[in-house]
Amino acid sequence: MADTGEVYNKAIKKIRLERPQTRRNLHETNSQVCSAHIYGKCHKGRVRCVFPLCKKLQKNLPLTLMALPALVVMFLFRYLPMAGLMLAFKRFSVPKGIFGSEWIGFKNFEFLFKTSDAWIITRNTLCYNALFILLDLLLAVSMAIGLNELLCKRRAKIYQTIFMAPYFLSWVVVSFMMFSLLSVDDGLLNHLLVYFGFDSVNWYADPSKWPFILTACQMWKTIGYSTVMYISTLTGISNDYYEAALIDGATKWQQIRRITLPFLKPMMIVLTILAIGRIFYADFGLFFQLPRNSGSLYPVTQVVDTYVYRALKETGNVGMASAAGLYQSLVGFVLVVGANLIVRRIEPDSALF
Amino acid sequence: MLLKKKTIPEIGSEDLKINRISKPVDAILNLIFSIWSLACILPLLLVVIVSFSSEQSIFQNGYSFFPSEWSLDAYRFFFKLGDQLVRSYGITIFVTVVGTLFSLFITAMFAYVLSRSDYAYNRLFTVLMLFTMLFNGGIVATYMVNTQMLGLGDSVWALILPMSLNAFYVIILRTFYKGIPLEIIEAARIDGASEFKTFFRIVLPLEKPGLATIGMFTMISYWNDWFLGMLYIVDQKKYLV
Repeated sequence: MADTGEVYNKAIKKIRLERPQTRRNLHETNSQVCSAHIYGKCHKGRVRCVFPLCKKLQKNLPLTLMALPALVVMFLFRYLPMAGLMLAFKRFSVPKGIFGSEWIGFKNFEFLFKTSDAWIITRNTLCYNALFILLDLLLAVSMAIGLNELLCKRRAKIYQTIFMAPYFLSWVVVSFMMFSLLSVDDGLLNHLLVYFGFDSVNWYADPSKWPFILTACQMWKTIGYSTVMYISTLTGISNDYYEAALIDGATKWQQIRRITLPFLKPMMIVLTILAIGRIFYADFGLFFQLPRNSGSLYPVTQVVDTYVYRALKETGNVGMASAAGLYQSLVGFVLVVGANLIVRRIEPDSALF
Repeated sequence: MLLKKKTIPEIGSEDLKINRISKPVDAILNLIFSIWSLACILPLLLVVIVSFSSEQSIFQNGYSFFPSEWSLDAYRFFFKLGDQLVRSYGITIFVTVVGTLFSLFITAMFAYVLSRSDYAYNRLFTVLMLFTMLFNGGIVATYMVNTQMLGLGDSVWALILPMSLNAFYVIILRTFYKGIPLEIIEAARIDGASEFKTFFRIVLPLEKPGLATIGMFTMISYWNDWFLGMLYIVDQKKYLV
């Protein structure tokens, strides 16, 4: 904070040195402007303020201008697509455009839910993500506490850095990495299996193995990042608590349960709510790149995102793809609001909104 | 981090040692973390080694940590791509640099405006922004709007603009800004600085750490992004790395 103060002082001094003149002038004008604005009346009754809204706009103009670029981007790339969701109720044709295409009601949805696809993609997306959230929470918290307890602090730092490394890899690289491990003829794992006298496995055609592979890869990639998040909370816990616990004769285990975990709880809740909000959005890279588009794996690797992508790009079925998209957005919305509602019931302080 | 000596002088160092984990436990923890570290590094090492091993040796032994023959063929092939490679890297770098700068610029300004409690439309814009976190058009509607209405199909801007505003980063930055007392801003105003000047000369320099964090995250996501490229770019000349 001392640093901040210093920087601020310097900045103020600089401005003062540069503009002693304006400062004096401004003081005079300022008082006029201020009184006019605050009391809603103008000086000496010369001009009446007819439009308070206009005044309000004018006063906030510079800040509004600053927000403008972001607002435009937000409108174009966040809110316009929401309007584009109306495609789910239309039969899209290119020459007529998005708004000109004819309405067909819920036909797209009927078509989507009649196939077994809807059930498979819903099940896959929800189950995988629920598993990811749970495992991530458990592993990251225990790893953060473990790293925090290590006797050699330097080693803890090194571990932490190494764990972060996979997070920065793109799924494309991870996909190739897995291929070099799992490839049928050349893969390292199959070679090891044969070496030790087992049969080689055709990894890319056997759906029963993939839930484990995908979960392992997801954990491998993200766990370091969440661990660091928790560690940053851990370092903020004051030593006084542990001191007091020590005097009261608490064991290490009791300290973790009664002090460390309660301090981590808000962070755990926030990260989990955010994750639950994304529970219906699968990690596209994970489910698209890793299985290398192997058709026999679709039953266990097809999730909403890949389904929508394939429907759009490979079969060109815009209506059904956007129906699936709307279904995804709606369920995601309901889930995050629901999760937040539950949290607000149990622990009002930790709720997001 | 627990119980550093200097923080509690009242309790002797003997007591401190009691609160530490025992040597065997420490050894077990170290073992677990070492194994996980290896799991993090070895697959990467494998990729690097495979890239340096000759095709012949892959054909014979499969992918392996100990190839029978080393070679630079893969890289020779890679660099033979020449033009395409240079262009692809050029586009990736362009997208990353321009995207990060643009994104930082609008995010920083927006977050600052939202952090000002005396701004009239503060609540309105915050709600508008938060809503984008909860609900969105999904890829199809976004794709259709971007290509049909905004004409962004097959253009670099399709790779930059959609990712440029991330509500989560705005919230993080806004929390950073809230740490600046309003008095500083008021003082600047009294001294005659316009809102823009206050922002660029006082607030931004104070927020360098926050901006650096967000900038790094944005840069990584631009650099690693392949999904938008796959979705929007058709012309091979504009392919990314």
